[in-house]
Amino acid sequence: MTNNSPKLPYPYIGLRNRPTGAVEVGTIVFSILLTCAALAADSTTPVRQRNFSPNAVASGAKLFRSHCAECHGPNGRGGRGPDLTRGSFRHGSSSQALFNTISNGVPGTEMPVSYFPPNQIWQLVAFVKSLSRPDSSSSVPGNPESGARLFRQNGCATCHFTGKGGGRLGPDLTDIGSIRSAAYLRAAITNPNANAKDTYRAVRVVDNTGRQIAGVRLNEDTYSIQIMDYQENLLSFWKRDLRELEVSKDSPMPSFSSLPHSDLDDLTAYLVSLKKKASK
Amino acid sequence: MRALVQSLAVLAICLASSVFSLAQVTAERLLNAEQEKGNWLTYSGTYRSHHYSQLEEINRANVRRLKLKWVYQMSAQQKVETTPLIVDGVMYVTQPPNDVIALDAETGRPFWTYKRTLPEKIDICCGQVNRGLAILGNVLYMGTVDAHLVALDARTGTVIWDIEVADHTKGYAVTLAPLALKDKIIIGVSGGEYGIRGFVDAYDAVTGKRVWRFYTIPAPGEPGSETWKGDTWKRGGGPAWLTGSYDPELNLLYWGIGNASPDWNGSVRPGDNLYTSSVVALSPDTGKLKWYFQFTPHDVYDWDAAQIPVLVDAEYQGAQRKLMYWGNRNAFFYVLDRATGEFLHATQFATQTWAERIDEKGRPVRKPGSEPTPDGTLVYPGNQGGTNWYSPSFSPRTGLFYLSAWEYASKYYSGDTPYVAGNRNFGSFPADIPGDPGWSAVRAIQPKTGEIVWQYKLQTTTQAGVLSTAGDLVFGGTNEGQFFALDAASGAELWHASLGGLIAAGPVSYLSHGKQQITIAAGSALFTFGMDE
Repeated sequence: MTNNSPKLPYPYIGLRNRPTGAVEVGTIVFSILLTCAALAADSTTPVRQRNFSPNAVASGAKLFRSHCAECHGPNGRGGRGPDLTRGSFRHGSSSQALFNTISNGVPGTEMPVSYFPPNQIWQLVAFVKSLSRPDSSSSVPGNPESGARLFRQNGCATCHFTGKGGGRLGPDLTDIGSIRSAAYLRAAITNPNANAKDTYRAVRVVDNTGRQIAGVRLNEDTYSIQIMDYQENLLSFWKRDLRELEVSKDSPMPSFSSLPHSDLDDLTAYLVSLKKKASK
Repeated sequence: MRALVQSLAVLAICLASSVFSLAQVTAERLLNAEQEKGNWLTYSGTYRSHHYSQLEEINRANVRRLKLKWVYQMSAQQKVETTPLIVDGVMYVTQPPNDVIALDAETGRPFWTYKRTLPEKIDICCGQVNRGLAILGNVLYMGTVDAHLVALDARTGTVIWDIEVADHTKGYAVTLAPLALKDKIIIGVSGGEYGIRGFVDAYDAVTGKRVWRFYTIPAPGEPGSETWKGDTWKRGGGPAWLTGSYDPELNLLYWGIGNASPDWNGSVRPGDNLYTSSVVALSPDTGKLKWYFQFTPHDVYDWDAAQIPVLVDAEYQGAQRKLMYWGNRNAFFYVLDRATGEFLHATQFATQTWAERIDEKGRPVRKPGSEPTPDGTLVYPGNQGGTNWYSPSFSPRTGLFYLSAWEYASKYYSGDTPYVAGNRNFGSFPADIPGDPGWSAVRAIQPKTGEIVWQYKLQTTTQAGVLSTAGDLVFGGTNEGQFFALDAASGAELWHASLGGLIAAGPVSYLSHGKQQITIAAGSALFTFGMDE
């Protein structure tokens, strides 16, 4: 499987099937051009949408699987490393910023530098960009206004904050449209355990006076547990002081899979519309 | 004349004391480290690597009164995995990536700090970590993440020499604490995730000149090369990233060898892939191989044998034998004869689903269908193993072997990867199981039978080493930063303190002003505890 040839005719960024002999020179010239372009553009300039070729995305996917998936997950959904499907990244979301992050790593974290030639790094950029592309709000069917109404009617705001008020027991959804894809959000509504992390689990404890408390687990270690009860009080207990402790495997959120498909579309469209105000 | 004799006598004393201070930690002292219960002279305490303290002032009766004595705050961005050395009242500790600090072991106040500037581009798979130092004479030795070996004056932190062990841009690094042995400094390299060809090296302690190198992957024609196909040996991995042990009577050095590369794609490297996931017994004088034992032939899970070889002389089935105890990442506990490498027995100490059993020769009988696949195969233990590099401990008082054991699985995916020098060469990846992060426990194993005598269960996984003491205590730590003491005989919890940051280091114990101290790194700080005055 090993391939020791450094001269691979990698198609990237619209450049397809370059003659092999021209690749090295082409790579260097193109890198210089890109560097100049990056220097010319400051962070407030809207990033020009680059058109990555499907071949570049496919090659990037292969590299991603062997070099990045260990931390970022097989589908880029995150793990030890951040979720890459959100389209916005802490160290810059433009193609050039991604190129820089992949090249230089993130000092002080486990994100390493890489020794890929520039064309392969662009393939990785192409793949990472492709992870978030299909999730733009324009491609979501459904009516966000009626979704907002359904959100209120179904009691979602009891647990979820949206910037205009709401509860605190579940994840804050104020910017959720900037963070999660439509597909992810729709799955979360119909099957709250689909993407269950180890947080937001329902918990019930009985303390040593016999008092019963139910809520959501915020944190737990060997000796203690931190809870938000259903009245939104922050509570903490030494486990040794508890008569009973039950942590559910399931999310406390009910499934809304029985809603009509059109309602689910509307709710999803509403959630997708919840974006950061000053978007980059 | 009498005055002259007196002056000469004074001069002789001065000379003698200066000679003594020039050769602070002689090779002889390291050999007899067991007689210096107030110091901690090597990574694992002594060459036998029991990670055990003979101090008993702090014990089961009084440990509840253990109090914080001092904290030293590091300026560290990286995970702190260091185990300090303590020599005659001075604590030498590394601060990641590659700084060294000499502290007063009584107050935690620094004497000096050595700060190392590293090249900008350092790629190292699992954080820019360092596990500690070696000392010989008045010289400290540290391996670096840019694959150098550095000798520092223990009194000032001044660099005496600094040599390149390997090219860090090809994936090599040194993260372990070196082992000082006779007149040599022994190290091994990290880089099993980069398609390196691993090795163990010995350097002249005075000059920094390399004396020998043992390649962990044999070249064509050498014994073991038949376990590699084609030129796969050139990038077969086999790092050696944890400190070994030494038996002076047998004059054998024992070193654990890491995973084969690419980690999770075995199809490109058919064969047993010697000496990956093995222990090797080497001559410390020449680096020649005396024997080897492979725990996981043809590893496809990244189960390095990067654990501490624990050397114990004990009766085994009626005869006194020189044994080696080994809690392996593959979830089995092994007992070997360390004179010959003969396999004696192996028992499971954590959940595993990859082997039916270990046969009479010590070879695992694989479960069908446990190999990584394109769609992922769920296997226990997960990628970090049933245990990993976290120091285990052996108490001669209880006769028990203690270790941090993990209960968790990974989904192992197969794949292929183009090899690019300096880049990661994983082959594929293991994935965590969503919503099931696993847990861990400190377990006490009866080595003669493999029976788990007790366990102390932790909520989450742990990267902490364990220390047992003559006070019949076992110290360990959690990912959330709790440091705890257990009854070594029963596992009962006796004391704990919240230190507020990940514990990924081993505890040590020493004497300061005649009083027993316990030190552990947590988060980005070093904490020392002692009894109430």
